[in-house]
Amino acid sequence: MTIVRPDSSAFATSYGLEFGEPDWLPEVVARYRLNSWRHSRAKPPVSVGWRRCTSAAGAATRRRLRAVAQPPELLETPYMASISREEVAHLARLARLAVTDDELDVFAGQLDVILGAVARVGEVAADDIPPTSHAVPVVNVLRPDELRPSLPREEVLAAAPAAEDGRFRVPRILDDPGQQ
Amino acid sequence: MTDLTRMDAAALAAEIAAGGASAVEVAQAHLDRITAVDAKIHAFLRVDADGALAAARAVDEKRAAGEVLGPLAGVPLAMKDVVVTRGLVSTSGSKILQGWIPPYDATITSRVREAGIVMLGKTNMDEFAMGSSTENSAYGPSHNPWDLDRVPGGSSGGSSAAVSAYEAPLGIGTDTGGSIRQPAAVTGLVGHKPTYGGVSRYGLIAFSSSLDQAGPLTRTVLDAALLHEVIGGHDPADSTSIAAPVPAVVAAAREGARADLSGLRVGVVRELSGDGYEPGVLDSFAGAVQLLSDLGATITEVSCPHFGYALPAYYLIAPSECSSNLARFDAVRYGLRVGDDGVRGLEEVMSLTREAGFGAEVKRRVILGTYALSSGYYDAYYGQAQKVRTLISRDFAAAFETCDVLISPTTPTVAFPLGARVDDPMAMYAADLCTLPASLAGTPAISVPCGLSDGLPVGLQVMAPALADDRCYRVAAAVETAVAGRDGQPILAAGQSL
Repeated sequence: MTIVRPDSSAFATSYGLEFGEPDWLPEVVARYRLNSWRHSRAKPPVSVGWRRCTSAAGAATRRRLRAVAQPPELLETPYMASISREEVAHLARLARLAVTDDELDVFAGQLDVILGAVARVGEVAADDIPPTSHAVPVVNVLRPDELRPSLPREEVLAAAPAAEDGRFRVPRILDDPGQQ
Repeated sequence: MTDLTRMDAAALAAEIAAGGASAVEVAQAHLDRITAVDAKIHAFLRVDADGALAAARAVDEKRAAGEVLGPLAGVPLAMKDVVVTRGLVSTSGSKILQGWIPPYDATITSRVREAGIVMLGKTNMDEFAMGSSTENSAYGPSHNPWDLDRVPGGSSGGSSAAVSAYEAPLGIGTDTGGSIRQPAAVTGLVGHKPTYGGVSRYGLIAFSSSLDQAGPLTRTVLDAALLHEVIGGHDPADSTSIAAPVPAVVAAAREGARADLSGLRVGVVRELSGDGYEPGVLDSFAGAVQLLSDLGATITEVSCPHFGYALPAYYLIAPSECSSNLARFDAVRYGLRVGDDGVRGLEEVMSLTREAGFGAEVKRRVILGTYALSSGYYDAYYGQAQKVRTLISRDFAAAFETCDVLISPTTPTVAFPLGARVDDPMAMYAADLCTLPASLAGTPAISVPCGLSDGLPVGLQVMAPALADDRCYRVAAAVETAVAGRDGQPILAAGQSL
C-alpha cells in the first residue's frame, strides 16, 4: 500500500505538485473512497495528507488503487513514510518530553529511516488476519477479595522525589500553564 | 586449591554441600574477582558485598544445622538491574531511577533468595533493556571479556560480561527481542528465553509487557536449567504467568549431555541466513548442523516466510508498549524530579524530568510508539504489526508439524566493536534479526556456543514450541557435549584470560 503524504515541499516539487493538497487528490479520494483527513473527525496528526480507509471496502479499493495507478509515477514510488521535524516535536509534547532543537534534528532523520523500514508490515498483513496482542491466551485472573498488607508507607514515600504529610508531594497543578 | 571462580554452578553447589568450600569462601572469591577485573569489564553497576556475604553466611549456618540445601545454595549470581531488589538500588540502567531503592522484591529475586543463591550485585544493561550492546546504559557500556573493544551484547550485557569473565557463575537476564540470547551468543555463554509466562514478570521494570521474559545466562546448559527451575513457575502476582508445572529442564539437560539425538527432527530455518550474515557465523552454524546430524538428528530445511517481517513488527510493537509503560515515570512516585521550583507546573516538571532522565534510544522509542499508537496511524502500524505477529505464530505452528525443534544462528554477526552502531539505530536493531520471531510468538529459545569465528564466539539458537523448553535444553546440552568433543575443550576456554 502506498500512503503518500505530500507534506514535504521537496517531494511535491519532484512530482511537479504544489505544496499542500495536490489537485488530483480529491478526485482520487472520491473515486477510491479513501479517507481524507478532512473527512475524519480526528484532528490531522500530519500537516496535510490522506490516510488509508480501514474498512473492507477500503481494502478492496486499495487493491484496485495499486492496479490503476493515478497518477502512475506517484503510485510506483516506494512507501513514502516520512516524519517531519514538526511532527516529532508534536509527538514529544504528547509524550511529555522536553526535547531540545538538536535532538529534534537528529530524531526526525532517524525516525524517518526507522518508519520507512517498519512500514513493511503493511505488505503482508491482510484484512482477514486476526491481530495477536499476546502470544499465549490471556484470561482475566481474579483472586479472593481478602485484606492483605500493602507496602510500608514510609518505605514507598522514602523512594519518592518529594513527600509531605504522609503523601506524595506533586508540583503545582492549579494555574498550570500546561493545562490551558 | 582449585580456583572457585572457574567452577560452574553445579560443581560449586556440590562442593559447598560436601563441605569442600564454604559459601562465604565462594562469595569472597567472586567478590575478589570482581575487584580484580571489573574495572576493565564494567559488568556491575553496584556490588553488594555485605548482602552477598550475609546471604552466604546464612547458607553456611543452614548447612551446619543439618538442613537440606537447594541445588544451587551458596552459588553466586549476577542480577540484571531491571529486576527490582528490596533495599538495593535498582535503576534499569536509567538516570530517571538513579538512587531508587525498591520497597519490594521481584518474584525472581525472592525465589533466588529462598534458594540460598548469593546475589553479588546488579549488572549493567541498556537503559530499560532497549538495546543490543549496553551502550544505551546511562552509566557507560560494559566490555566483552573476549575483546575489551567489543560489546558484550545487550540488553543483558552486564550479566553476560560478568558470567563470561568468571565474576559470577550464574546470571539473570531479561529478553524482550533477544536480550538474553544475543548477549549469550557473543560472549560464549548459554542463554535461555523461557516460554512467555514461564517466569514471573512481577518486579521486572516493564519495557514491552507482551514480550518481556526473564531467564538464565550461564556457562553450561545444566547450570541454566538449574537456575530456570529456581526462577520458573506460576506466580499469582503476574496475571500472564502460566499455571502449569515448570518443564523438566534439568532432566532434559542431563539427558542431552548423553549426546544422542536419534529420531529428533531438526528444522533449519531458511529465512534466517544469507545476506547480512557473516561468513564465519554461517560456517560455525554449518558445523553445528553437521554435529546435530552426527548425533542422530534428522535435518530438514523449513521455510517460515513471515520471519522476515519480525523486525519491522517488533520495532512497532515494542516501542508502542514502551511508550505506554514508561508513562509511569511522572516525577511523582519514584525517581528523578527536575525543575520543581514552585513556579513551574506539573506538566512542565514532568517534561523536563523525562527529558533529563531518559537517554536518546528511550526517547526515540517513546516518540515512535506514540506515533504508532496515534489516531490515524494505529491501524497502519500497530494493528498491522499485531497481524504479522499472528502470521509468525502460524509459521512456527506449521514448522513444528514436521520438526521437533528449529535452529538458526543466534546472531547474524559476532560481537561488534564498541561505537560501531550507536549512531545507526537500524544497524543496531539488526542484531536481533534471528531472535525476534520466538519473542513475538512467545515460544522458548536457547542460545548455546557452537564455534568460533576469528576467535570470537558464535551461538546456535534452538527454538521449540510453547511450553517445550525442555527440548531446547536437551538439544543445547547435546551440542555442548559434541562441540567440546570436537574442539577438545568448551568454547569458553578459548576466551581471553583476564
